[in-house]
Amino acid sequence: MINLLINNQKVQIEDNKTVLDACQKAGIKIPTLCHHKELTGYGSCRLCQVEVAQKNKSRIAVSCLFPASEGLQVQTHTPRVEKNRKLLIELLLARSPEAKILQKMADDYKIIKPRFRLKSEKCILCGMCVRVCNEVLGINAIGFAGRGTSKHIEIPFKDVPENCLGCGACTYVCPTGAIQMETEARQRWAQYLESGARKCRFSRMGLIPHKICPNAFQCQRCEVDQRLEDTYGTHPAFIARPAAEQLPMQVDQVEMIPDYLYTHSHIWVKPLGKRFRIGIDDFAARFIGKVDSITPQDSFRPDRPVWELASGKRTLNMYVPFAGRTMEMNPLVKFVPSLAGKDPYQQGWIYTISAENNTEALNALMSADKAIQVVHKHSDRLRTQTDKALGATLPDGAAGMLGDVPNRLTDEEWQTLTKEFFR
Amino acid sequence: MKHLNDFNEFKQWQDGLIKSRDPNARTIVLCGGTGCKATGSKPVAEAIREQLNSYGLADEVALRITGCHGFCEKGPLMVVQPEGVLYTGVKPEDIPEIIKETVLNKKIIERLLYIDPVTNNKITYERDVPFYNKQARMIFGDNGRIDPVKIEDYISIGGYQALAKTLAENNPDAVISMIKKSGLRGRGGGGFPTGVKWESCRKAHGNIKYVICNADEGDPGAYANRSLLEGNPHSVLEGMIIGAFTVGANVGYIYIRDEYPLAVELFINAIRQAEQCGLVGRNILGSGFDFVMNINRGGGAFVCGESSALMASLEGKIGEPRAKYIHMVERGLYERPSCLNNVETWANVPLILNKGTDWFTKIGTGDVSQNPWGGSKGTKIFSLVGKVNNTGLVEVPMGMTLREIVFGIGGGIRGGKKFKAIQTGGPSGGCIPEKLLDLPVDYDRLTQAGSMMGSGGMIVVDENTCMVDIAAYFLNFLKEESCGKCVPCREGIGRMHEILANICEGYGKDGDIELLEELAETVRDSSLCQLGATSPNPVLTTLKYFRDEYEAHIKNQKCPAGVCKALIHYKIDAQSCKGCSACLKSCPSEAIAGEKKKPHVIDPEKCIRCGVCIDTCKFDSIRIIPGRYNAAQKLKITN
Repeated sequence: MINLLINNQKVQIEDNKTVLDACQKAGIKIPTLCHHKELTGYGSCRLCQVEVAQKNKSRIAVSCLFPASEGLQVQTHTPRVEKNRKLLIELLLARSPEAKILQKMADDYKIIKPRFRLKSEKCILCGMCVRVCNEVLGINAIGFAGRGTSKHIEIPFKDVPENCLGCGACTYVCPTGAIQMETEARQRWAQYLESGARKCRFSRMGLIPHKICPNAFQCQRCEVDQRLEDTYGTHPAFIARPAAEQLPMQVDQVEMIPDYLYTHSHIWVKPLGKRFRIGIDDFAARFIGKVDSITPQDSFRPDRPVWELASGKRTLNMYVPFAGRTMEMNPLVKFVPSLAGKDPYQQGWIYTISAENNTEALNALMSADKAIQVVHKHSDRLRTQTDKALGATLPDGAAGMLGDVPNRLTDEEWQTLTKEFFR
Repeated sequence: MKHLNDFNEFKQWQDGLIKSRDPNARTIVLCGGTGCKATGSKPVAEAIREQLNSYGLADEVALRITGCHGFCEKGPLMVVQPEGVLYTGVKPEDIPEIIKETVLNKKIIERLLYIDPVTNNKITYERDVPFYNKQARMIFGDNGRIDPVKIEDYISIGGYQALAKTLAENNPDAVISMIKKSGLRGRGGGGFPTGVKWESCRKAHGNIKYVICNADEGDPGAYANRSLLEGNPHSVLEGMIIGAFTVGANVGYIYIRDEYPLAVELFINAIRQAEQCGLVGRNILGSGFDFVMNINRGGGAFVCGESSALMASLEGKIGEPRAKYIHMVERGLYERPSCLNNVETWANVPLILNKGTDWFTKIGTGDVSQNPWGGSKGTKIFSLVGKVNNTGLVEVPMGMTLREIVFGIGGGIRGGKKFKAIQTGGPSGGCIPEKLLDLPVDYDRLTQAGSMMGSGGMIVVDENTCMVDIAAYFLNFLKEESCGKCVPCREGIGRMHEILANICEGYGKDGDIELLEELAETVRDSSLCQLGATSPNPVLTTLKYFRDEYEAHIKNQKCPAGVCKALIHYKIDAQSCKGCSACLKSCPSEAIAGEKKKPHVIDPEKCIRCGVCIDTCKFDSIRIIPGRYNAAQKLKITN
């Protein structure tokens, strides 16, 4: 818990929260246009700015992004802040004079008429539609285009995006009503319906079981839509969180990425169209220690290794349970092999490969859920082995133990375990 | 070129190279930087090769094509060594004479010498040219001594020695304390102490860290980073490897503008050579330290020079800044600790390690022994452009006054006009007036004067420049280059520009100045990144130092400098006009009338103030009169 002082009033809040969260908890009203509690902070409207003082230094900061920290002193309505807010609202009102939300704010700040030439934009570029589509749905059907004064919201290549679910989350979050669901978009959905079976958008978001729409995709009138909104009290999009699920899972402090596929021999595989990208998993990375070199192979089979890793004098052959060819080796890893172990899932990928038979290859792989069980089994086995070797129980936490494996095991034991884990 | 496996091999190789470098060898040094290439140094180089071959001198006289020397205005530049004879504006047809006279017979060719615009004297030797000899060319000076495509040249002048020493001593904390003590501050303009940055990056948690070189130099008129990358790419690379070792990074990125093709080419070449020598790659000089270097080319957005926007762009995202409440050294590129420095900062690192902090702290202002923010040390490269006699890149010690730079190195104002202001720090810097010319140039003094160091642009303007117009020009640039993410920058700069443009067009009204000041304050306070926060500088400084010009525009409907077309009119001076009719014929709007041999007159209603008549008149009879031709003319204000 963190204690801070907002307008000389003590407020307590959990770790990793922003000043805005703390203000809201304390019941202090701060105007904001680009903040949504389900979305990451963006800090574009600058209306939520406050004055913060730390170590006797006072400065302006936007509360939706500024992390709450112990002993922070916050003033939310100083003359300086209020003057800035007033001018920002005036600027926005001159941009979008018809937006109701801005008219109301202008009333609050007693702005009668902006001193600037009026424009008639509806969108205030708060970016909430872009963030909801990217972060919550993982679709990216809408984005920004242009820069400076000509920045605007655009769909890719100005064409109705193929992957748009038509979920309407963007219209739901838009504060000014600049995005509307159009009949044309609905007609598109009808066309999709004619062209073949298509899943309901909520089914695609993973909220209801697989279902073909009986309602001609009249999502605005659909009872499922209404029911989900009633149940959760928010737009259904905010209940589906594929983006959040992609955070790494941990087992015995070994990290596994949920999206990837795995082999029994501690190699991860990520399908990229018809090819695959592969690398070693976190267990293998911790088992081998610092990777000093990688000897690549042109082709591989279940009985022929895909590469040979070396760490000091120890070498480790690794196998994949299907046959294929190596297409390309990661140039970074080629140069700095230790990356393969340091950042195994991202920059440390090793090859792009093509399999002889893709279906067969996919069948031979397992999902992260299953891979976690394998890792769990193997780290248990490792723990008993090291216990035996040392004759004493190590302190809890596999990370410390795994981190030390190369040093604690004798070469002979290491070889035995290698055969067990990596074949 | 051989692969170096340990420090001894490096030392031996270096000693050999130093020995083989004869300071008295006859060498023709030709500038091959972008500036001189544009003025034609490539055909000159071919002509030299051809002539040397025809005289059979190819083995005795070396031709060294170097990076930029800085004196771009007079290009192509050629220096004949060891005497150091400087020839400017060399053409291929001059080459036979140069070889015959200067190279073989050591005679000077008078007509190719540089003429000092102040004294009108001819100057023979490069070291005597005031443009050069008033500078302190610590970083830039090596440009004339090495061929940027040869790593041997760089090593033979002591290159990579600092790296070898650092790796051999294997004490990153000592390097950090040295950089800290030297008082080196970020040369990108922010002026953050480099040592402090490195220290926090070293302390930051994380297996993987990055070092990044910011070479996205987007200020109009500034090209110091480009010339450094083109002239001495290895010094930047060496600085980065040392930095990477010190903060614990194995991967480096350089973000270069795609508009700098030569810099990209030469830097890639430098990386390849360093890889072949084993100075980049695995197990550098047997120390166990690995380092890999990547090049990324920027798409041309000005805002991508801002550190967080640069990293977003490196990641393949939209180049937009983010709030930096959590610093880049803790969570930067790919959410990992990242140490980003400017090209010039990196190039300073080997210099400091080689020559020591005492030597470095002697140059500059203030005292940095207690507080790294206490002063500005070392030198800074500026792009001196505008209405000065000598334009080009100048490297000056911190603390040199603006007067020395403009009148000493720059040789004063072109055409004998009067100095009006100097704009420092790129588009979002401020204009400094004549009364502050004795201001010593360092980070803190420039900020106090309402401007900033920026990436080192210096634009000199003379009395014929309208300060409202210049503020409008820079705001227009910033308006276009703002990323558009946050409201104060996107809307605020747009509105400031709108007001300024109105004033220039004669639609200024009471209250405009106050509204500008109010906007400037809010934009400065509320913007997300430094682009927005510094954008009001041109407006604020011109308002502070040239407020009377704004008032003349608004109240008197007059542009005192005679620039804003709506607020001036032309008149023909009846006494000096000879009635030659040249202007009459050239006027595109048929606004000039008059009989031959009698003074002509301009009809101000028809005149569009294009200035063609001024250019055509041989007798200088056409005058620009500030103010509308009819003061009582009613204004129609559309706003």
